[in-house]
Amino acid sequence: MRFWRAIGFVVAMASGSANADDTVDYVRDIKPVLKEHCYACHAALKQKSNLRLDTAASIKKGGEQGPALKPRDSAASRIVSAVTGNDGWRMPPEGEGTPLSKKQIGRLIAWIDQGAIAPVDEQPEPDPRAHWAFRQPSRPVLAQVEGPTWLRNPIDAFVASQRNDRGLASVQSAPKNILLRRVYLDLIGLPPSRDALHAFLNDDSPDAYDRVVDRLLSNPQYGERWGRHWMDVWRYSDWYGRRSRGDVRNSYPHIWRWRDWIVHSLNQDQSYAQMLREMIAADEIVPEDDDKIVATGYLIRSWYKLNYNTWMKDLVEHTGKAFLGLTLNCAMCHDHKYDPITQKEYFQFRAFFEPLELRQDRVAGLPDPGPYNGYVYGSSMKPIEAGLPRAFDKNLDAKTFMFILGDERNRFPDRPAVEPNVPASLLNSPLEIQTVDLPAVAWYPGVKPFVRNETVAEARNAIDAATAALDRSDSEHRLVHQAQLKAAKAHLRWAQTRIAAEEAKASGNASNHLKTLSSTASNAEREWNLRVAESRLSDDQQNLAVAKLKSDAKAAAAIKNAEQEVTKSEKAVKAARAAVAKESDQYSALGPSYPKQSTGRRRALANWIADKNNPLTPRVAVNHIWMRHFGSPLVSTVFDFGRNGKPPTHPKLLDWLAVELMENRWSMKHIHRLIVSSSAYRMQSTSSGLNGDIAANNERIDPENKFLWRMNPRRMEAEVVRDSILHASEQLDTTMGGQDIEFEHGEKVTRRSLYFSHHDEGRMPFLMLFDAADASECYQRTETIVPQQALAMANSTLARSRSRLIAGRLNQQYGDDDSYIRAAFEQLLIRSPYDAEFTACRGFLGKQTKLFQSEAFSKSGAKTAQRPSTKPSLRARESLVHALINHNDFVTVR
Amino acid sequence: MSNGGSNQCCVHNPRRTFLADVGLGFTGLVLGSMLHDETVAQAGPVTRTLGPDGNPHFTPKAKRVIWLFLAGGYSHMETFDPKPALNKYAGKSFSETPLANPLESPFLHKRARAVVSNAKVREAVTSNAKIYPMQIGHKQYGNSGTFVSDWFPHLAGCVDDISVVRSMYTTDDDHAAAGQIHTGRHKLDETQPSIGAWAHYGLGTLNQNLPQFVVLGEFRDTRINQQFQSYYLGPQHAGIRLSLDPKNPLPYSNPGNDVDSREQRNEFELINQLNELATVEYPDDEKLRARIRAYELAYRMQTAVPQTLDFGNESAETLRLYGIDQKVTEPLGRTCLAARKLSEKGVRFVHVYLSKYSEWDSHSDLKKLHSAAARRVDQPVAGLLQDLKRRGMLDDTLVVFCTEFGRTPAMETRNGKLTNGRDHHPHGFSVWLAGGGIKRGVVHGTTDELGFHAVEHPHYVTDIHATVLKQLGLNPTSLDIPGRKRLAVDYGRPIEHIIA
Repeated sequence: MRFWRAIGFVVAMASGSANADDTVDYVRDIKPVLKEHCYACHAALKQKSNLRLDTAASIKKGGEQGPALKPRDSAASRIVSAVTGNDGWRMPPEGEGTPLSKKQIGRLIAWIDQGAIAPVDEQPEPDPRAHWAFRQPSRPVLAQVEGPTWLRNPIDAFVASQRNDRGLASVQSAPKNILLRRVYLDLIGLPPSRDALHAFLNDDSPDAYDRVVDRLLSNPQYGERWGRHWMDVWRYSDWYGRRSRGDVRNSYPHIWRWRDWIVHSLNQDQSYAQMLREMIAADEIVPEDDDKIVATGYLIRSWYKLNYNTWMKDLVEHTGKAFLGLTLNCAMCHDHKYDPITQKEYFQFRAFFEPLELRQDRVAGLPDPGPYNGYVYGSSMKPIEAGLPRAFDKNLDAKTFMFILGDERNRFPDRPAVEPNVPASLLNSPLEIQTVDLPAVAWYPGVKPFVRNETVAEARNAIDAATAALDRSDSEHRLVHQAQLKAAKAHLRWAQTRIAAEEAKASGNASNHLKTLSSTASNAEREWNLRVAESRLSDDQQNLAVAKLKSDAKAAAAIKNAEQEVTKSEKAVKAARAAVAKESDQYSALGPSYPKQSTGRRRALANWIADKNNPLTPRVAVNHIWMRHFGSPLVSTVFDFGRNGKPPTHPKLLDWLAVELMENRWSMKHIHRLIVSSSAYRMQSTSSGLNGDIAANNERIDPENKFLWRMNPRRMEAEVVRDSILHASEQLDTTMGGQDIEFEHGEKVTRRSLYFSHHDEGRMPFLMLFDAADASECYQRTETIVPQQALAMANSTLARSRSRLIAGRLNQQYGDDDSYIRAAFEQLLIRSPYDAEFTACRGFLGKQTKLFQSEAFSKSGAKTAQRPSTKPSLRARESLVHALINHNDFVTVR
Repeated sequence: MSNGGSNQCCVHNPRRTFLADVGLGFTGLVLGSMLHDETVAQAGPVTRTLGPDGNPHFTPKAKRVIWLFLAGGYSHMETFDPKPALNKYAGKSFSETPLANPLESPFLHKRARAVVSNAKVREAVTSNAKIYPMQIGHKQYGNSGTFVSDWFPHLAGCVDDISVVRSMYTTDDDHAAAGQIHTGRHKLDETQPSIGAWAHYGLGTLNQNLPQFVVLGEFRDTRINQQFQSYYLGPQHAGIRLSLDPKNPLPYSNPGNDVDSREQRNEFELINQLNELATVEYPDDEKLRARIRAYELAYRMQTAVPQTLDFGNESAETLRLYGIDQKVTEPLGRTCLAARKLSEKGVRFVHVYLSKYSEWDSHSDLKKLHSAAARRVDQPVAGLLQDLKRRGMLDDTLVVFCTEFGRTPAMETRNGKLTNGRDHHPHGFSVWLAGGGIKRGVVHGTTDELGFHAVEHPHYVTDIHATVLKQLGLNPTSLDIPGRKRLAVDYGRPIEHIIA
């Protein structure tokens, strides 16, 4: 029962709020409420009924229905009856927003009755198109700050300027070992080896650090590290649906080819703009290049077998969030509440993707997956064994209709289909949609050279096998083998004539020559069918002869059965012979054909997103990169740069980086190098070393370190934790790429973590505990600290058995405890132990050794992958290594 | 430093040396004795940096929840909502009865939404469908006179402690509805956190040594994980699966049998000692402190969880109560007893995936399948209620017994053949709640005479969520996360009629 709808309510509230002490402040109490509940329709974005509620003056002025407010007379103020619903209709309307609470209405009434006082200089909301993120970034002028020791590159000037404005003092640079470990983990996702540590510590040359950075950026493990980051943003997922039953519903088998493309492209320092173009439209931009078409795995990842509306919906939402920092999804049911995006524009954006369909192309050297035949209602879809899943435009004239409240069951009855387009107010550069004429290899993959070669090779191999079988044949089977050889030879001829005809067809030579070739191929196919039928008949006759040799109880039935088979085969031969006698130029193609054109819609969209005049794309990209170096982004709402998002902490820095990215051919390695070379990046992560008062001042002004007066300490991402353990044990298998490995093998198989299956139905438990990406959406990782992580580090086979390996190896090199302890610290924590740590570890080794020397331990040691040592002192050392893996410093990036 | 070489990696820190010199004790932690005997933590503020403070928004009626989910969709008619009209009109089509034709009800299209685009309509909800008679008898029980089918003789004895809600509905007519009753959203909509995750997010801990949102039950189908996921609330609020094997109940709770407990305790002590030393270097690092605490908790959890799941201290009489002494009821009896033990020791939300969907999803042979499934759950669940009651726990433990949808009043046909089963039915179904401030012996809401539509007091599945959160003292709108839009339907409305 919503009692505030009762008539007496306004009076009751009004008298209740007539308390003189209860002064309502417009800016504090009223404006935020109106902003939340009313501005979407009655402020800068829209002015429904010609009414604006974004200043007290405009409320008083009112709209089409007259003034919305009468000072000191809430009962006569329309705004009050609107929010209470006393006149029979309520604002915000049902489905368009939540009603105001009783308390909020009470305050509104009180404010009016107290005279509706507001600041005189109140400004209306600015034009939404003037929102900072919708304006073109330009290269800002560098601020003049601090001395040359801090200013290594322009990043430092912007960071220092923001800090100086707030009276924050920066901490000193991190010690060399910490910096080295940080930059290793950041760029390749693995800690440095002890050799690398010592080499760096002993290198006093001024460019020592720069050379490390160069080396890391050219290490292929960079692509794996940053590939995993971008896989978060681009929602990489292996196939799922009902994996336990082998039923594909979402994403698609062999989508790992897209993952490998990501890693490879990053290692090649492919331009960010080109990468996003290829993911959205490689089939239209480079239709002949299968190595790039795998990038459309981005589109396939959102494919949902049961309902293509969901596919479209996910593509719109995540293309908006990942590349544009726009919450387009908010405009599916109604016009966007904050950004200038109408519901129609939402569906226009969807129209770019509307013609899409999935297909599975054959890959050289692998079995042919056959054509993708679509979903058969109620049936399972087994994962294909091999193939290249990719997108293409199937329905070139696909229509996009608008749905009422975004519900696919309720199409707007009176509205025509919408055309593909981007939101008008964001259209900084023209959108050109031009149909793409596809090359033959794209619309008819059967003409790819490898298909021909493999088809012919297969036929030749079959002839060789049949010849060999005939050579070995005894007289009884000679007829059978002769028939098989004939069939194999017919097959080769069929393969060759078909290829000749197909090549002629693909080259577009519609001529008599093509007709002749087609007839020849057709004849060869029918000839081959006849030879196959004859071969089968020969088999059946042989079987009959064998059956007749026997005379036991079952013989009669077997003979009858064999006779029936012979009769069937004779019929088939007869039919095949009749077919050969006919004239035809029809023959089977070398696999499926697709439309010869593509709409060009996605190419246009991709070009628009990647255009240098798009203000959002480069900002969103550099923000993602920055966040993964500093542990916190410049714009905290990483997928929402719209008006409801948060403004950047360093607007000039963001714009400078965005321009820098674009002007350096969108090179991400360029941005990485700039960032990790900056003084800002090299700061230590603790305030120790700062004068106590200064440190306290920093903590008071900026406790969250938004303005970067120190580095942010971070917990390693899940994959880095696992990979680092394997790396420290020198067991990491650095093989790159290939089919996803079932995550169940994650503790035994030592490949890098990004190569294990990862999807909405499940993730490796060890990784999940450390906040691995949610495959359905992860624009930013969460960082939790929970006891289950401690259990995983303490009790997993991974940590335990690797500790024993590490200990065994170090034990061979270091006899005395102190040098062993030092080596273990360097190996695992990339630093030497402090005195107090030495003391603790010495005590620990002594205690554990004594324990293992006791009688009870002689029997222990079960059958596990890596058994504990039977030697008490070594077992104590294993235990020490295991403790160090559990040290907070092991999982922390300082 | 005497131990050779230059300590070139590190900036020498005098404070650290000082502390070591004065021998600041590392004896602060006596890990072995840390398992709390006093299992329920004192009420009080819970330290958190983000989100809710862990205290209820208003005085709660329930401290903890046991959520029993019976997957597959049990028939409401053959459990708690008997329909004599089905017998009367057996074999007739809906239009051949004098009753209101449910196919003409506006509810039909409003409440059904298929996941598959252009999905076929289930024949059992078309005019060809033939009404299928009740497959089991039913009687009234207790002072309340609540109807229960003859398949539940034990639960029948508990009806005076429960509130049956006969007017539930959902919108998906396929098994993704199993996710929907936990998250509140249709499969095609944006995914939301599950009810258990919201409870976990909103409230602090009752026992530091135990995970607060636990999942019990046997299943391999990974789609079931959705029922206890936390999505944008963060992975720390997701349900944690426990196995009933006390040797290794929790993932990574056992170091393996080649590690001795003393060996491990020494390791934990060293880890703690080294991390404490690091706090000198990084005095302002809150994450480091949190990790130290996480290791303490982990060590205790490793002991506390197996202890809690140890049935050794349960009497033979208790085991009998749950049917653990009989083969057919033993598996779910163990599960229900484990649920009680975890609740008793302070687990906030025990989510039990009680029976598999193959057990109740009776598209054919309903009589055989349902009677077998009922035999497996009846005594264990009744035993749980009785046990909670006699321990005084039922007053502040809310028990929810639910499924994803009901079953069609008409018989299912497959390719024109009759199946002796019933198809999925989202338009009306029954659940019950007990304890934790829920009225005793109440039957609330009705379906129409054929059991087709929830007509009086209809409740969408999130009304159960609203009821659970209200009893826990939480206001769901106060738990909202900025930037994550929730709709009115996500919050639901508490089922006030059954709240005491």
